Amino acid sequence: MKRTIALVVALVVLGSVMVFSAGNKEAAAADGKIHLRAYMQVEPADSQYAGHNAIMASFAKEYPNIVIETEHASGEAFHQKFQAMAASKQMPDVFTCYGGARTAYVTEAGLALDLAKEYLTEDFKKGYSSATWAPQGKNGEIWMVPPSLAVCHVVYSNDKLLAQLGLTFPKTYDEWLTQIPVIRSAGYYVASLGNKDPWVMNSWILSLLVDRLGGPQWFMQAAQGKGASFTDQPFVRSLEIIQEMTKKGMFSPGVNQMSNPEADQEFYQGKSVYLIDAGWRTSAMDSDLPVDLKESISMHVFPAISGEVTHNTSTATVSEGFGISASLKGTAKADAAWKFIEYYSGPIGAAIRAEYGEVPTYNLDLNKIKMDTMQSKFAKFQSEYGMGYVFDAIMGGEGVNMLNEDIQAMMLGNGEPKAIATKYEKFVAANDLNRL
Amino acid sequence: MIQERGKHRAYISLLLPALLIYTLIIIYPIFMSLGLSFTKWKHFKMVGFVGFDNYLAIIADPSFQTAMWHNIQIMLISVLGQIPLGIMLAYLIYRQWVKHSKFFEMMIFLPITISSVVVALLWNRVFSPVGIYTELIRTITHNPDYVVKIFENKTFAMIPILVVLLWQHTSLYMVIFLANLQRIPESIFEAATLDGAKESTIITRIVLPSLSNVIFTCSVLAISGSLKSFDLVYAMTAGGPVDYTSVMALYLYKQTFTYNNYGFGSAVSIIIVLLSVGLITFVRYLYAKAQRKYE
Amino acid sequence: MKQNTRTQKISGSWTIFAYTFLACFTFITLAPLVWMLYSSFKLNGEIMLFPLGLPKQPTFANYHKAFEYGNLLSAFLNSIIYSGFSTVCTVLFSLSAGFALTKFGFRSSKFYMGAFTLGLLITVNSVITPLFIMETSVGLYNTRLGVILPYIAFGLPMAILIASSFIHGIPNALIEAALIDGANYWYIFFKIILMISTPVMATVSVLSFLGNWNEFLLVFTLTGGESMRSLPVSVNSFAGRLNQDYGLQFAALVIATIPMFIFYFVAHNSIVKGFGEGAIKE
Repeated sequence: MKRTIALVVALVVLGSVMVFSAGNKEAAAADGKIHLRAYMQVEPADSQYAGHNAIMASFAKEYPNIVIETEHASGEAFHQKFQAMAASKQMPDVFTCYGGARTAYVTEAGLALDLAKEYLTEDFKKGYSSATWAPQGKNGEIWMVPPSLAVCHVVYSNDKLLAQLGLTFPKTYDEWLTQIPVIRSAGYYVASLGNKDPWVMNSWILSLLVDRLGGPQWFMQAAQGKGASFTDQPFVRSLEIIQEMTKKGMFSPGVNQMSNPEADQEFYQGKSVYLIDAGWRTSAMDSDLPVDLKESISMHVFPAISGEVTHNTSTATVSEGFGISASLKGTAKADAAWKFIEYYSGPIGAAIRAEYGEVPTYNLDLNKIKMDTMQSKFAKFQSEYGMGYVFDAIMGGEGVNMLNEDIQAMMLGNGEPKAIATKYEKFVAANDLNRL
Repeated sequence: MIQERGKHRAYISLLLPALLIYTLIIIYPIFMSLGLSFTKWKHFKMVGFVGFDNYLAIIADPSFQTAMWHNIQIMLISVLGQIPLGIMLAYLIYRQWVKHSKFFEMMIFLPITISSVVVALLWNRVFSPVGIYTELIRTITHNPDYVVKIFENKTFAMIPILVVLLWQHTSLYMVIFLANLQRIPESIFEAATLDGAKESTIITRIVLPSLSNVIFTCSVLAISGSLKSFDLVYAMTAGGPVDYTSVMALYLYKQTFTYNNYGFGSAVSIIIVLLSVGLITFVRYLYAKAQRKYE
Repeated sequence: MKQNTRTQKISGSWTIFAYTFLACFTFITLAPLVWMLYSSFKLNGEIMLFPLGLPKQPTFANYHKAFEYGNLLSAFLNSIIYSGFSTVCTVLFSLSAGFALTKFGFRSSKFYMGAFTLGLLITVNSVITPLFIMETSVGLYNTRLGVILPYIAFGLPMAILIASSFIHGIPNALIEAALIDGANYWYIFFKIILMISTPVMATVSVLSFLGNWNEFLLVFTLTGGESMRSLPVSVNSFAGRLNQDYGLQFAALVIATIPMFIFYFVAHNSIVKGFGEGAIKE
């Protein structure tokens, strides 16, 4: 017994030493360098962030005076902690934030620096594609510089399967519908889509339909409630198309219980002819798939819909990028943070990221950069198609969540387009920031 | 009594470490939460006190009611499924009715060591539309459209989660019961067997009464655990499809961290606490009644 | 002869039922784990294209990558510190509180017991924001103590409940005899209560260790630096928000799960031993 007690005591003592030795607290600062605390929604191990990792390394080499201490997080956990930080006003110096409503708890709460006022010059802006500088705040603020566009709608097709079935990529939506029985009777599924998380249908399909049928102007009017609303035809018709696609068997069985990687898996295994997914899937395809499969995959947009007002478009959003804490305003730290953001999104960072297959917002001659199979297809895709709005990047989260659940219920047979549109319009009118 | 003062000092000093940490970490934030629950937030700022409005709005919200109903289902499976099964398994092992009982005991306890993330990931790889099980059934029945329909069923979508909970948490009760079965003096069993008592008599007359206190404790654990269950549901379905598997803690999570309705979210956590207190008081009443009956 | 009464046989059909049940349970538990284990030696592409097959060319690439990006060694150490330290404290504090609440007969016991039971009903999600604010303002944020304290606090309610229901069953005569011999209460706690309570100590420590080992949200929110992270947080960094790499994820999960199993198999023996001791004392 005595030995056990001695052991316990020893452990407790040892433990206390480790417990009370705090982490690498900011003992730094004394070294004369500028230390930036960064909170990034980045997963370094993901092949998609290979370019990010390379930039971080080269920035550290080039600016030895600026030390960036990064905390990585992602998904819901990222937001949960970010909110706690915002609530206690303990903001990191540099952080991932969204141009849209997703991080409004930081941006709308005045915790992010308005880069438009502090740092952006016309000269600087010129180097970027024009879509980059869409206003992010209500008064035209820019919270972050988007390093790349998130393309939220691609219809991937397996051309080998298509040829085998004697089909080509449909020119119109109606033609696409007529392909369903042909594909199904040959024993394949038509289109894989992972709508287990119901935002998928919204970002990847609804946004596109709304943009095609209503156009950007109608959409902004509806969002702000100025002369248009979500009970209008473009929105209702979009919901009807989703319902129709579901009813006619466009999606694989179990579309609402399939996660994204599961939908990808179905498509990769050659069980389905099409995959409706986002543009950012290409980096994973490059690293996961055999060459012959990659070569037979091509990238398209949703075929023409009768009555559409914009044509041949996909959807894209500036999504997320790095912003600076408002509390740093006017300090050397803020300048250092801006230097980093400039480096990251500007010519140097853009070139590095492009090498790893990202298509940057900074205008580069992509022809000079050697890219993997799918990545070069993606670059071509971006130059070929116009980009419309992404619905849930504009509209407030609570309403969008409600809408997404309602769409999912509709796909499962509980709900009708008109009623969903009415309910959504009512919610938006009462609650959405866009209507204030 | 002179001794009384020393006794009270000892009482307090024994209690103090637990009480101090507990008050600081749990009680204090809960009071903050209670205060917040009477406030309204709009666009990330508190806009004022609203009395019981949040509470009324929550209770009237159909998606909260759905979530609550799912919690009740979880509670039922815990109290009426996990606990009896836990007793059975503990007894089976205690009486050494099967060979290798030690091995099986380890196997039964294993699930609880696996994190919900692993459970959910593996589950999906088996039962999703591209999962192993689904594939198998599709091949056997030649029906390429087969999917596990129960996940999409508004009424029964909870069942798979309940099954996993049963699998994962029964072992907890088994361990507790096993520890307490060891405390029944063996002489009692010997005497009963010598008297030629039937197994069923031994169980109802000796085992269950001596476990009654523990059964009560376990029911409290089960009820409170069920009403706040989050991890597994979040990892498996995140409440979907639609809100067919949503639970109260998930509703709380969404309100607080996705919609930033801090006041509303706080009111939800207070409601969860009140509900549990009510239910536990009810169980305590049942327990007291049952005890009186035995005595 | 004692063993005989315990090993008395039951009817054949019940035995068959029991074995079938246990065998099924074992299979359902082990099969997916085995699948996860061998899949972790496959690259993601292979897992996607051939989910069930054994690895064609077993590779350690996933493990390499997991160690490279996950900071797993320090995460592992942190997990041990967090879980170990909070478990020791939870066990000690819950037993002392359990002793105070069941054997002293003060009126306030009931109140305290109720207050502790209340803790069972609190979800981490409902206190996480206030806790973050509090810890940042008193300087506990990003310290190990700042993680361990909440771990103890969240472990206590259940531990106290289990401990008190056990200690409640210890005959009062034992304590009274010691008091008459002139022992003080702390002496009684260390020399009698703790000794008798070994089985319940084992149970409480296993439960507390398990709960903390897999805990994610508190460590994630209350620490900032890579050097303070525990295994679940590291593993979560492979969860793949936009792209899911199953191979990598499986490897990370295997790494996180194996120590737990080792702990379990080691601790399991002491639980059984604890059971034995507990029974003898009666």
